[in-house]
Amino acid sequence: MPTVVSKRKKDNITLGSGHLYATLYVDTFPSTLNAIKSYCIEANRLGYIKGGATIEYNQETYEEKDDFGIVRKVITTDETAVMKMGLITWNGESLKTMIDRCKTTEDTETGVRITKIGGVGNAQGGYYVLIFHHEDKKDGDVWVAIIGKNTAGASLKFANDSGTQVEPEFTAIPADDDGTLIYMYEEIGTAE
Amino acid sequence: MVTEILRKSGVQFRRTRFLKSPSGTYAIYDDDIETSGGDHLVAIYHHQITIELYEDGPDDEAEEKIESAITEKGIQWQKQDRFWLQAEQRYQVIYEFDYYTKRRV
Repeated sequence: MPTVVSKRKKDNITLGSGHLYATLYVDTFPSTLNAIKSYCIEANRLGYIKGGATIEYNQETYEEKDDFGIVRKVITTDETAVMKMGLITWNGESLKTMIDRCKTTEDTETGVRITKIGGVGNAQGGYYVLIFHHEDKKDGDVWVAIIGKNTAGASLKFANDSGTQVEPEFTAIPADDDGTLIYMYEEIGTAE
Repeated sequence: MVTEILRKSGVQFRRTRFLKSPSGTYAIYDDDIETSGGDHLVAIYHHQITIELYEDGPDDEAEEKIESAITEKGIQWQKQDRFWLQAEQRYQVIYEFDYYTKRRV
């Protein structure tokens, strides 16, 4: 009889943060776990996270009922998904992923990177595949993936007593023909 | 950085303690460290420094040198004024300040 190494059960506590990877979306969404894993490489790390990440799904509903409340119907009329986090490591290049109207040039002769923020002429118009990977060796890993764009702008606070943290909010767009906003992959174990 | 400050002040010093108290003015320091950074990243070291200055007799010059050395680094500091230690038969002055260092990823 094959046994199944059970992971990600209902009674597992999910505890801890994860790693964030981002790549420019070019018509291909990694819809299998193997494809997702191939994106989770150091070169694609957007930055190190501080304070965890939040994946929010919100829906708007419309409720109709008769005057006596005997019959009632609720339908979903709108929905949004957002991936939020604070990035404690960043540079001009990674800001480009977080700010649409942003352009970066590097001059290796002078050793200077110039990042221009704002201005319609600096618009990129792109979306990003964002993958949050939560590692849990005991109860199983979780990957959350969206196609999205930062809709929160960026605030850079330079302080004496804390690292400068950028806090983007990536709003998801549909990733497939069903309109899926969030793909979540969980390790549930395999038959042995 | 704290050793650099104390070296610049010209006051003889050790970390934590001298095995045998030297004659004249001397200092000992403690460097309490708290780390932070990202969720999977230790990258920031918060140093909380305490310098205890011991003086056989009132030594304004040593205090001024330590204060100048800290100030030159642009670090804000607190001072507990001269206090007579009856058991040690010495004066004690305490300085406290914080600074941060980074570890490159």
